[in-house]
Amino acid sequence: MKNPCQKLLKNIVCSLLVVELLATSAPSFAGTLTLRLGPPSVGQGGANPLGLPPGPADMEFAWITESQWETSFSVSPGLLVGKRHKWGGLYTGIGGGIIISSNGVGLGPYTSFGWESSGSFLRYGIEYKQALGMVSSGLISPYAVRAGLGIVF
Amino acid sequence: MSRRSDRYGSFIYLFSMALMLTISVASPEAHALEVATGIGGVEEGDDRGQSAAILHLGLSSQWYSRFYIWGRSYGPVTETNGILAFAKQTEIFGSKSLTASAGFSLMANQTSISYKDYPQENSSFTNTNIGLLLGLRYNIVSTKSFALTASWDSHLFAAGDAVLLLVTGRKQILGLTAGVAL
Repeated sequence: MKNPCQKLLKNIVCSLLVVELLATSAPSFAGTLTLRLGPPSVGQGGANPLGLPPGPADMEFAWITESQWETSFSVSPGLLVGKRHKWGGLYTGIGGGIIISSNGVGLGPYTSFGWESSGSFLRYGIEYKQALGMVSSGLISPYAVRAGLGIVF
Repeated sequence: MSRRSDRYGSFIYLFSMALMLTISVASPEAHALEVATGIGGVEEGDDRGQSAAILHLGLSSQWYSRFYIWGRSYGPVTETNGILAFAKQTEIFGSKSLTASAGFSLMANQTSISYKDYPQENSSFTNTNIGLLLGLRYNIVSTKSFALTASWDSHLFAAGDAVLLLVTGRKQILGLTAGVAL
């Protein structure tokens, strides 16, 4: 039977090794995780009012890094990746991705215009995002006005 | 006043106002007057496009006015739309060719219904609205006296009380203009 003290010491050493490995290999995930709410216009003549409570189509999740690269996903305009140019709280974003509309799904560019507060833990803001996508029947151009809250990591 | 002059009177008024507003913000060291014309494709929320004419007036590197006009006829109905925009632009991402614009837009829409056989039933009505301009412009070709510019402009209008639930109407215009500095 092993000495209980030796067993405990072995467990402590193993735990310290695991923690040390995680601490030195973990990448930095600094950025802001944002949830925005607002109705999209998907080529059906305009947006419906924001649902109360909001439905899946009214939601957009976005991850913005410290260097202002943004990855966002919503039912419409779609899955987008781009970069922001900031003036204080105001910003313009440009990028591209998979554009989704009621008239099809295609690839294309997007632009965004918005304002975001500068909190160190919580940031709120409002944004207009528009996209152009090429589909078999022509050009689609969904857009959305959304307001939301972000948590800074 | 004839029906035709009445139809376009509101647009002429808007254009004159644009010219006065643009001149009023010109600084003493403003660049030469820039005049450009071009064509655009208008999308009004249904993923369909209509062609539009564009007139651009710029009196400085930052301030400009734009006038868009388009319309269509179907049967006895004639619809004419005009937007006057007044905006400030700024360079983004360190590029002298790529600029972002923000400003305001005045929109007028006139719908006329004319019956040849029943002129007493003819009618016409005009709606106006004020909104926000957000856009991007890219100078494809830019020299001292000539510029060829592509633009992606959106004019957002509040949908009445529903704006509280973030409902907006939008006129999106993809444009291509060619202009000279006078």
